[in-house]
Amino acid sequence: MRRLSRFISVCLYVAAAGAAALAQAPATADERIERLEKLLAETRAEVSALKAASTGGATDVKLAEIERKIDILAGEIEAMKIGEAATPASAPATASTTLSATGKPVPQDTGERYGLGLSAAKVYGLRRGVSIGGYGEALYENFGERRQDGALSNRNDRIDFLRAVVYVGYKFDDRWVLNTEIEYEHAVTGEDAGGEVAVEFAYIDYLHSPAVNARAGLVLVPMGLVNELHEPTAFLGARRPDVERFILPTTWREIGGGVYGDTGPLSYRAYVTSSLDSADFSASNGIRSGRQQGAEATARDWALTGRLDFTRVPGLLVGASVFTGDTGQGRRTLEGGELDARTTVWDVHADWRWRGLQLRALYAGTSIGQAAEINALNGFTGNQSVGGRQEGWYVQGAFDLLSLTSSAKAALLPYVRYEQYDTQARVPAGFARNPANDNRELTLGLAFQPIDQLIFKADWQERRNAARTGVNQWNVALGYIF
Amino acid sequence: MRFDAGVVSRVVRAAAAAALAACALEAKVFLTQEEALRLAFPGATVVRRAAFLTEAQQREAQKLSGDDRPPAALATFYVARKDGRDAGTAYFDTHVVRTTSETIMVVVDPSGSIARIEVLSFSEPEEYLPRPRWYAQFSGKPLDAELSVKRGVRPVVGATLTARATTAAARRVLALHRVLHPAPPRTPAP
Repeated sequence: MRRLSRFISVCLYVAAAGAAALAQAPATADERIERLEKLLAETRAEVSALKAASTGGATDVKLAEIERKIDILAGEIEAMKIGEAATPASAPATASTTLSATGKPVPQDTGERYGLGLSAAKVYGLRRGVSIGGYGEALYENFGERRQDGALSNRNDRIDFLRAVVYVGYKFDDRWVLNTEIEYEHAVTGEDAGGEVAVEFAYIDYLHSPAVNARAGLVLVPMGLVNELHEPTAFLGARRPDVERFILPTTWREIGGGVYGDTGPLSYRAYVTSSLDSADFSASNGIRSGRQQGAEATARDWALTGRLDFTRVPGLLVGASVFTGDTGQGRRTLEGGELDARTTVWDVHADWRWRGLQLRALYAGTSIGQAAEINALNGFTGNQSVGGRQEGWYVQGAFDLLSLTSSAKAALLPYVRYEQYDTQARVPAGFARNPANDNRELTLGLAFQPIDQLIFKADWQERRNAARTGVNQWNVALGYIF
Repeated sequence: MRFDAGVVSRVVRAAAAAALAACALEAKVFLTQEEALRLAFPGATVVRRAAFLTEAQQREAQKLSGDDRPPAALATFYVARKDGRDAGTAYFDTHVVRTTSETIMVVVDPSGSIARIEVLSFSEPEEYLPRPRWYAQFSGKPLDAELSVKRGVRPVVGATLTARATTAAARRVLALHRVLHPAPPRTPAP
């Protein structure tokens, strides 16, 4: 019995010392849990040793009681690790919980309720809170000395911290969530610096059910593969595909709202947003400069965007999206009529991942009505015309070499991408196409991801255009997300 | 100086409660533990068990899972029996996806392969939550080199971190299960 008392005293000392250390040391919650688990394991081992040496009687009764309490503590620690989803405190907290004996009806398993299951829409205890994340990327570009036609390129190499982005979210409750992305571009803003600060998105979600949710605010236009997933670890290439810069002008955001959700093998989005402004369309940049970005935007014309993705097969995404709306924004033609300038942008896209293989393809097109009238209003002549039709496509393949090893967590991906795009595929009668806008690009590169949230990319780009003024370049980029 | 043994549990419980408050995160809860177990084992008798791993067992589990860290010394799991037969074992794993956590239940069938995975709570934006069908691909997968997003587990466009975190959790659970429930040695054929 004296040995038991001594043991209990030691336990108390250890527990008290542990608790004191927990209070003093700046340990993380995980570290605290680990210490508790270790303490319990040591205590359990000591109890087992005592039981082995016990001669029975009152000592065994006391040891059994200590064991029972240890099991209770084990349950408490499990609940602490799992958090809100843990079995409610009202449930029996004994070492052996017979769940079928609680008297509640037992649901029948249909075999179709993996993941979220039928209870996906249930909402239990919730807390409010702020969440923070972000990403960033830096890019070095080294340009060839000569153009495609042999003339000097006169391009200076450059290095730029393209963007440092902070996500801030706030969960008002389990239904209402705010998501924002604040972006600092090109490192420095000021009189002598070209950087800028922008709100990339800021929207409020109403989470109703997997099938129907609502979103409103400054939203990302749900088109293509990069616009919504534009973090540097989400795409290959030191630079984003130019098709998804000039035909689909990432990062494209407008103010508006709509619904989104998943139903069966399909996920969808349908938004009404502020439309583009044709006053800023151009021959080489296409519709890119016509994005209003939620900055004192003209709101005379609105647009509808719809997107549908098929995701039945894990690893495969196939989908399409379309944006359509007038872009005159209240301007009138030189003849005095209303300028509609209906602009429709559409794309079909696919992404397939299988083992170490990653394949991606996208085709995008744009049609702009009253292009001749836009040219007249914008003062464009000759080959400066806005493209009445614009189009582009790319295919991309990569293979993770480290997938050939059995345990590597890092990824080493050689990749290749070929793309074509033309921002003046068709121009109105009386205008000419500029062959410099008819581009072909081949990108060969290597990406290394030591961990999922960091990426280093290096690639070489052969850039050609029909005017033979293309300049090859090689690039090095680093990116991070957190 | 003498203390009642109950003080031990009170002290540790107080520390546990403090840690609980410290690690509280806002999460969307899809299933409680009890609901998840009912879903996995309808009509079965489910008993909670706790096991304390030796250091050797922790090392073995880490080696099998390929995880960066050994599992905790304390393992809690739920053993289901139905009609007098082993119906499987459920484990709960909470892990960080990007910056916040996800809790999943991994059910191991009597042969030691994954029977199913259920998401209990998910704190990241729901854009990072794979669709239910993605989780279905884990059914029947044993602990081997194929249990990897680089191999036999298809990743998810836009939810890569979740796919990796879930797969790592599945490996942890199967490794732990194998350590706690080693297969009986094979007897040579007569």
